Amino acid sequence: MSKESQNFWFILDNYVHVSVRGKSVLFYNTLTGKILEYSDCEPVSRLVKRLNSPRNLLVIGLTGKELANPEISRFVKSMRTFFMGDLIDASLTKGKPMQMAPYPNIQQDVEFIKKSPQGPIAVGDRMMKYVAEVSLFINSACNLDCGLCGSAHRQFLCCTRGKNTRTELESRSIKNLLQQLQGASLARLNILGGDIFKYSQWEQLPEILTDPALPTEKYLYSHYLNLAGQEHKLAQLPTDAFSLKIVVPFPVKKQQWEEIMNMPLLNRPGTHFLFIIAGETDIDAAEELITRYHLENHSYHPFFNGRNREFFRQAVFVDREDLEEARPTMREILARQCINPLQFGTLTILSNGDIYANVNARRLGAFAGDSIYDMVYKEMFRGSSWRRTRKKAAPCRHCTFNALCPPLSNYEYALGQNNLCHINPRT
Amino acid sequence: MLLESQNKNKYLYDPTVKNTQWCHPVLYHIIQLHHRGLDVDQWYGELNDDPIQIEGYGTASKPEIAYYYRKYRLLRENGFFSPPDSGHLLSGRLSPGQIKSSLANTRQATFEVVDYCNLECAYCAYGKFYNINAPRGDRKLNTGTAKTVLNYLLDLLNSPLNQSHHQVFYIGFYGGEPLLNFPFIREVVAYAHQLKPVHNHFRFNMTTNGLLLGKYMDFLVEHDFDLLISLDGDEYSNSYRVFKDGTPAYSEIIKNIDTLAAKYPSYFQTNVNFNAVIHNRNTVPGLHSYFKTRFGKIPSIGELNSSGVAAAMREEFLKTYANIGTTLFQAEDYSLIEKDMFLNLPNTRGMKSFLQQCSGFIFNDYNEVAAAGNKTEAGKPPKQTAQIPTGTCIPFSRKVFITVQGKILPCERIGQQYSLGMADEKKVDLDFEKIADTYNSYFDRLKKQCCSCANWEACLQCIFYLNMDHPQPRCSGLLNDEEFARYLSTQLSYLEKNPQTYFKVMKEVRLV
Ligand code: SF4
Ligand code: SF4
Ligand code: SF4
Ligand code: SF4
Repeated sequence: MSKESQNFWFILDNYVHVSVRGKSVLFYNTLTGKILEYSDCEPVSRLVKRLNSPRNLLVIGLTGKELANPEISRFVKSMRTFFMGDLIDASLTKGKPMQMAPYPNIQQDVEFIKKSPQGPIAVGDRMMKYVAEVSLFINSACNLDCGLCGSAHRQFLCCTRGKNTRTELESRSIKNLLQQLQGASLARLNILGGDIFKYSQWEQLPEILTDPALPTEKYLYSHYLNLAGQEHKLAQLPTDAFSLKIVVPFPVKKQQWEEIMNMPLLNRPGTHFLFIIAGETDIDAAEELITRYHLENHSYHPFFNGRNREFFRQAVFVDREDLEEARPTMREILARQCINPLQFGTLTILSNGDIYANVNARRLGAFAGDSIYDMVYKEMFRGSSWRRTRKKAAPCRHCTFNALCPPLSNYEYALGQNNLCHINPRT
Repeated sequence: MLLESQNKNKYLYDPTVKNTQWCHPVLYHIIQLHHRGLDVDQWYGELNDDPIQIEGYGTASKPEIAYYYRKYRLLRENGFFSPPDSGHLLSGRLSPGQIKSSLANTRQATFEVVDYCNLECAYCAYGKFYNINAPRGDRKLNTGTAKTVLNYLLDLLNSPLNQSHHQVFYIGFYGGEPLLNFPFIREVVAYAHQLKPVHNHFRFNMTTNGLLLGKYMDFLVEHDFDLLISLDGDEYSNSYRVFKDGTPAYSEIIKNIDTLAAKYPSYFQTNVNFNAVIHNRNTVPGLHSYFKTRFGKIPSIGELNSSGVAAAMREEFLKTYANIGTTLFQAEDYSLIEKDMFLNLPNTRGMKSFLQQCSGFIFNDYNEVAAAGNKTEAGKPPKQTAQIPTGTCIPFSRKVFITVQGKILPCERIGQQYSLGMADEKKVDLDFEKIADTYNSYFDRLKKQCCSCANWEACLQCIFYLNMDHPQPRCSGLLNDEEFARYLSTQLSYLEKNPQTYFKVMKEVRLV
């Protein structure tokens, strides 16, 4: 490629994400999805170290002699082939170019503010604007006895009976909460039970749902079996004030299912079926229902029941191809290093009044006693859910893929491991 | 936008994708063709196998062209080269609700305690150089008005419109020289102590020339005031700060400061800062070493305000004026000063705003980064929301300023003819609807210029520094593409020479 006496600039493209852990280096092209990995390749590691130095800003000089090294030459060639980097004769320019290296800088970075010696502690500065989604479990009463009860809601939005006692959120407190959330950028409100139709203050729901400060996206969650015969109750709510999310675990009870399918409310716009999938057969069953009843609006929610780890390995665990296909953008990668985009801004209030940023994490406080400001402040400060990133979680923190993998979800809690992947299977 | 640095390196800046990258000359050439409106695919399709001549590069072979054509396609497929729609993006409007919420979240209320002073500094904003401000008066703000304002604000601060929690709220005293009306300060402080903010902690701050510190320091220390003392350096450096009869004030001020430092050393360390104005009798290195050795402090340094200078005074003003950058770069120990003063230097701020605009790696807050983290349609950059034209702040987002006459302003730096409301002992009169209308009508008058301005995205121009009384105000900051490219190239050239600045800004510069 060159004469030995010539000098070159090697420039790494700044839409490439580079991750180094020990002797492994990963390059990921955010424009194409291509991943290149080098492990135990000393010359490449050394080049990457130089590229990453703040004095070099992704640009280093390479001599013709260095380029004659087969490993370096092969590396440079692959970088060029996959549009990750380029080489230019240094004599064409008067000095070294620079490249703005990817690095997430959030002006109101809480971790930074916490450490800053000067300035007021501004962790709570305009923090309510971050509250984007609130889930209210309004009651725990339910006559069903689903096998997944009590654990499904820790994996995805789903009703739960709670433990022994019957509990309810006071409608007055809900109104008070919504009042306090006026300054939030609430985009979504979810209402769940128990069996929400057993909520003793049902007559208060119309007022709550039509609160002008509320977002447009409001969802009521119900198990399909609890829905049967409740048309009159639903009719008491203003039609365009909410959409219905219907929870469907398998196997379905044929007769009741038929009954539901005949309910006119199913034609409401926005009605959505949540199929709870614990194994292959559930997928087949769901598909059959979807085809037979022409269900357009639906989604699948894998459920970990403690016995179907193998199913999760097949259906949920990611591999390299999944990541290349998902093709996270540079902005997604930057975001994933600072926050958990799945969980950021969400609050959950259980029917017993416990408030969580994530139901699997430590409780933030109690609904009746504490101000929601205090809860949000606590989570802003701690960041244990909203800013729970793979960068901080074992074993992902030692893995070069940690900004490429999807953000930590509730499944990691359920399965008790953060590496839901085939890439780095060690525990 | 295509750019070239002083080192003749080529770059591509794409405002829609928000990315700036080094660009190979052959790719640069192809993008140039694109910018000229050529159908690049057709151009490429019709090329024969002959090499082509490319400026600043030499001969490019067909395989080279093919390679960079593919790279061009890759960028294009990922949203590069689609022009931002400034017309749409600058269509933002202020709403009354937004202004009210901004006030409920404001960080500071500053009272102009008096409009007179016990000094007569040569460069004072009320002094001989300027013709914008009303001449010095003899007015005081009355305490009743201040209390009414605090009550009014407290209602909003305690309302759910306030998005903050455990947040410091400053009650500020400003002048003239605020200590000339000490009874006002004492009464307002006592009053504030009785108030019960839910989401805020009240603190006090004051900008003072230091002459009366000797008399009132016990009180200021007792109430934990944050003090900003105006001082331009050593005796000669400070010699524009004089009494009315022209005698220098330096020795009296310094006596007070020394007493304060001796009597309350830990207070002095934590609560006292200095503010110096740079002019032809001092230099940045001089100020840096004076404050560092004498007080162990790094001063903040400002320049003379060059807007509103009376035509007749222009020449004398220019003799007095000095700019921070020039005097800094001449310094021998530049890097040491830069290290100490990094966050306070205007070029740091300039570099941050440049990187915020061009790198795509700086986000204002978590919502911005969360939005970036949401999957967008492949190849499409995330949707940008409409913003208001110019760099004017949303009224009250930084502070509320109350003049001696009870006029309410968004800060102390703008002309009082732009007052947004009035306060007196009985009530605060703020009509959010009217304020929104006023701002929107200002924006309407400037929008056309802003839409044609290449700097619209990173504009820092405050509308109140333009002549808004004129039916067709003109912004002298308007940049055409060429001028803007020159600005960007200068910044890129700076980073090529000082690459360490990049990570220093990325890692250290945050708004606190
Ligand atoms: S319907 Fe919901 S709340 Fe009732 S038992 Fe089943 S999972 Fe639990
Ligand atoms: S899940 Fe964790 S360990 Fe597995 S590839 Fe992703 S970051 Fe690595
Ligand atoms: S100068 Fe203008 S933009 Fe700056 S704080 Fe004052 S009003 Fe706002
Ligand atoms: S510099 Fe002037 S013209 Fe340009 S965007 Fe700002 S206010 Fe508008």
